[in-house]
Amino acid sequence: MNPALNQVDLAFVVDTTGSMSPFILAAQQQMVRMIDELVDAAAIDLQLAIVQYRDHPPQEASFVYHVEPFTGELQAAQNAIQALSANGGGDAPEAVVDGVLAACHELEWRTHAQRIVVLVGDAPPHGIGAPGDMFVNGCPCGETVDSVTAAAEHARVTVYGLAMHSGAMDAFSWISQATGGVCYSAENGDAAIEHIKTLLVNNFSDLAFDERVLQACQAQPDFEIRALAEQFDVTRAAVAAAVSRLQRRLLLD
Amino acid sequence: MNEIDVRIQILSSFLSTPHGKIAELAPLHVSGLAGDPLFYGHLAVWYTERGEVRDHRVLFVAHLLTCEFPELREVGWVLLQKLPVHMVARALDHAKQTIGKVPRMFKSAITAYLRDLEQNVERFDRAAMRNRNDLKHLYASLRIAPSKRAQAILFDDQPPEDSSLYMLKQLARSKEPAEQAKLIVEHRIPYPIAVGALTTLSPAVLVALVDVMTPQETINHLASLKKRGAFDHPELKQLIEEKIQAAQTDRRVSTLKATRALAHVALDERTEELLTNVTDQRVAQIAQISRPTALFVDKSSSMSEAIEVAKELAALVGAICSDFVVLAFDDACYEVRASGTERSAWEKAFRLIRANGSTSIGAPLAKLTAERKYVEQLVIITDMQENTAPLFHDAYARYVAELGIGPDVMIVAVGGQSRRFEKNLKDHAIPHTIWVFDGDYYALPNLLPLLAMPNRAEMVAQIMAVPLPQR
Repeated sequence: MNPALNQVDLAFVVDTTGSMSPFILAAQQQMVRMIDELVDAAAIDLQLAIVQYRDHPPQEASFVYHVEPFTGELQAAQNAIQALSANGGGDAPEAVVDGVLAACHELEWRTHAQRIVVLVGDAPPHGIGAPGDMFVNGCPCGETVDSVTAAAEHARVTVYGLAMHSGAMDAFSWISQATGGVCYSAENGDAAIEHIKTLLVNNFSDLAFDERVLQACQAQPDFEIRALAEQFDVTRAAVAAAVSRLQRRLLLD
Repeated sequence: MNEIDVRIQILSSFLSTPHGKIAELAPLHVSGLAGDPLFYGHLAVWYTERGEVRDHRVLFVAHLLTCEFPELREVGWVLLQKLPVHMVARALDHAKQTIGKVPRMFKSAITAYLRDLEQNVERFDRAAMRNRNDLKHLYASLRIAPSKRAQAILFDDQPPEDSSLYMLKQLARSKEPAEQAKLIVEHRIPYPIAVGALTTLSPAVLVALVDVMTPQETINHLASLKKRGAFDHPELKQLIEEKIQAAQTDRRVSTLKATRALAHVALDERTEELLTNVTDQRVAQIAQISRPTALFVDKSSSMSEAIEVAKELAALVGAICSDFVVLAFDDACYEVRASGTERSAWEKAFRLIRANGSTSIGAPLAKLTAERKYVEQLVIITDMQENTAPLFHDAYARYVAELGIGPDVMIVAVGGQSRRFEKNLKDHAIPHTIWVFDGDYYALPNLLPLLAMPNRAEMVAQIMAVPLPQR
């Protein structure tokens, strides 16, 4: 089988400022469980990365964001999640856009992998009118929610939000929806896991068929969906869906 | 808000609501009736003739017959007589369970309906065979005394020898394919009923079954027919093809059921071509779009489903609109040209369009502005999540300034909606309708009458010109 067919790159982008202290344990448990369940959900080749974000000086001096690159060692990734600790942060909003942008630009996503970011936090980004914002004119990095979601779309990354507090819900929903994802509240963490599991099952449940379609399309660059459907004795919709999956992941031009 | 605005709002709500659970559609009827009862009555009559969402037809009847206006109850009475049995049963249930009342007039309408049905033995038998439980429900729940014959068929399970139900019993007992085929043809026993009664289906029986099918039934049961080997027999296959061809001119055939059949059954090229022709013919009968129209397709990274919707919509609109341009966009835009108007041509045209890039809903309109391309309406398939300039409201203002026209905007929302985008449309007074696509391709043809109208105010005038029927 083409080894690129079942690749999934998943990055957790996590707020580790002090306000997350009451939620960090729950967030860690959700993330670890998500990894376990996704691995069981479909025959995928999973890589994991973690991006922590806090805030810009003078609100926070330690770091704005910190990137742990992708690894296929799932246990190591789970250990890194367990080791996350919440500190600092200053004002209420945080460097959410920096975290998402770092995930899009600084992680080495595999060319053909399904790319997923799970954004975990309790506070909105700067510059969107949240109360107590010390950077009311926008994040010091100069990026906005729009520019970040545009970057995510360019990087073919779908963002799923996990809002640990209601204050983050609107902004995380905005970011998620603009990239084709969904946002869930912490109480609905199970639903978030189910959603991503379903996504993976839908995309990776019939790898053998996708491989056949890929080979046929590569062999006949001027392929027609109807002709392929007849060739494989399946519906046109089934072939169209496979072609769409392959095109989205650049397996097919 | 003046009267015409209220009516436009009611009309837009109805036309932009796809299939849904009947209880979820009900608030639309409550507010429509409360907002402008007279318009609601005319809309009900107009929709019965033109609308494609059957649940609305059920709801119009239920809400008219339970309303406080005698002249509208009259309209409900007349419209109920035109519904098939299962829809009458649903209207009654909706009145009981959701509206919470079944006035005397409702009962009298159903009594008249049942008496008329009893008079027509053939129609009654057909209804009893297909919708036995619904029919029993109508008699029993309103305590309407059945005729002697209805009593024997529905409640005593002793159908008279001249009834189709009796023949169905004979069919179940029969072991000979020739006899089974004869019974099916002579008594026009429908496919799903016969399939339930028989343990095996020989080719001869299948021929008989297809013979008595309506074109719509043939399309609906293609998957089942294929599974039972019907396409492996040349004679049978030809019979099926003849039925599909007949669907082109049959008004009762639902436009996109053929498309749905295409999507869900693996068919040979010839049958598929026939089905495609049915869809195209039906579309051509629905409407002609005379206004120059542009279709914008959001192909940004988050929008892979939009491309599938676009293929369908481009084929539907392209078939009935001579001045039609299709632009796919992310943060740039690309014209999509089909070599013909048929569905396969659009399928091919969209083949290399894949979802990627960020979202600039203003980009395609900026292109039309730069090319000074005049359009009167824009259909935009999108999740409304724009994140890259030019933003739509800015591009729209420039288009209006440059070309001197503000096109009507129809948003086909796929995969979500954005309050921010909608607010921008309202703040900039951009005339728009948002039509939520919930995955139901059956509902897409409802967009066509909307696009075919010169404008919404004229449509309201046409609806008001439809006379209210009386007994």
